[in-house]
Amino acid sequence: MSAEESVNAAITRRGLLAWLARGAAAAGVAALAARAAHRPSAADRQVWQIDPAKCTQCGRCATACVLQPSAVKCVHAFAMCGYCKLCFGFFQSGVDAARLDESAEKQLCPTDAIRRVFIEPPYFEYTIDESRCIGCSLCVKGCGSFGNGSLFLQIRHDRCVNCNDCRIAAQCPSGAIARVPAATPYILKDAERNPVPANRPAKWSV
Amino acid sequence: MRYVLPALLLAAALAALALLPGRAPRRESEVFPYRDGGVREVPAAKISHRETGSWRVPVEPPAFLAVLPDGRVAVAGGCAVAILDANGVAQARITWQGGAATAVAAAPDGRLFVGTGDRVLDAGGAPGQPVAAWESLGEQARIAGLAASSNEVWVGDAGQRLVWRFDHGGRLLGRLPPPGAPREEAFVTPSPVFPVAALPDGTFWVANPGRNRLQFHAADGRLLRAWSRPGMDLGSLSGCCNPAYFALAAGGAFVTSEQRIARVKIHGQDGAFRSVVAPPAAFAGDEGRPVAVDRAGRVLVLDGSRIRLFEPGRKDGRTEERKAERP
Repeated sequence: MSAEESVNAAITRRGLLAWLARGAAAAGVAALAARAAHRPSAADRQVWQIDPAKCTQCGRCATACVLQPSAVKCVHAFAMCGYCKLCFGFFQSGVDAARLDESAEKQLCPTDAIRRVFIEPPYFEYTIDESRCIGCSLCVKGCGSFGNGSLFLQIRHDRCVNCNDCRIAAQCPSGAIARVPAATPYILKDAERNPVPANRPAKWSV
Repeated sequence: MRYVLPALLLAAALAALALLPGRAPRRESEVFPYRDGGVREVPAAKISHRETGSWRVPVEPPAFLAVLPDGRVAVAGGCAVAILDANGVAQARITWQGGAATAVAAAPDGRLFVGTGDRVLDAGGAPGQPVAAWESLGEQARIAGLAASSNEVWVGDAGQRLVWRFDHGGRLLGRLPPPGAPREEAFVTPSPVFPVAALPDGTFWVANPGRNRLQFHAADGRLLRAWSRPGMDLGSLSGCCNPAYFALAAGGAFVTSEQRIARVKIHGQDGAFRSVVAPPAAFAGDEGRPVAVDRAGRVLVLDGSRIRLFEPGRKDGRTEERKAERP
């Protein structure tokens, strides 16, 4: 048997199939690794969000979103809330302060999405039922007009589908909606906007 | 030639399409209108004062003002207090380094006290620097109101929801409500407004802004009487924290300054609404403005970098007459 004949005899069908399987597996692993390497991380990805400082409560968040009800919901900065008995995010403007009850005609929210719970005199706590909230911003308008502004709108990312071209952003008259890093997906009213901030001691010389 | 007519028709159709109005975005009023019930509108007949002038304030940013017993006006802002004469001309200046002024008060002897966030400065009364800085009231302190009687200084601390009582030397005499007091006696200060006004005999009025209430206390802290006007109508105190500022006027009346519905009004000593000094239309922005009443009966409103003067008298020249209230 010549040398050429012995080499051909070594390449068996079984060996060839095994070699092809190993090659395919290696290619698959390489493809997965390449895809993972090119996949944007949470720090790179971006999502849509509303800047509360720019929002003018125009109401279009409720109507422009591709989702119905909208992915925009009212959220509450409890640290800023006055826990008012006469809450202007909850009650219609002009309601008789001496006859405060939770009857529908006195409430501002068109979908009964705000829960009002008595805490102790004179405090009431207000929470948002997001399953009912449509993002109309009426409560935000009322709270900001007469109260501390603790209610504000945010795009909730448990339901936002993150469209390439956000329909609400396209219609927002104040440019309040923009992409933000997915790692910090919310723009909250922070402690600096707390109406009763803690004062830091200053250095004194008199 | 046979293509000319169709081409013209096509061009006309395209031009018509181009000229058609696009889908206009919905106006706010068409979506979810917010109706404020006209609470910012004030009938002209309810306005009892007219603006007669204004003074530029020589401190930055202006924060508070007080009228001295001799008629001069102290205005505090930044790390300075400027003292103006009755015509608004700057006469003296007191400066310091440290926290910015948040309140100022004048004692019956003319001595000035300045609140600077977490502590009080004894500013004396002479130009130059303050005499002393008192101890800090704590990291959470936020002095939003200050008043001085003949012997005491009352400090409205919105951060800790307390009224502190000091003597003129800075010795702490007590606090209101006292430790262990029932929660019903607590002050409600959701935002940093907590005005106080003292009478020479040591009694004092203090706002309880979260309850839309004014309370009158004896020097030892006993509650003597109070009035409350929560509501949104013109005669009430609106919003979650009002009055933001107030001043005592002749006959036991109050000049109140509200925030959110920015307006300055006069209430009688029982809280009954009397008239409007300055309606919301007189102000840009909805923040409350510090107010004071000078010896001539003028209402001084610290509005931005100016002190605006309002004197009794309607725009038509008539002056509202009112019977003197029982003291």
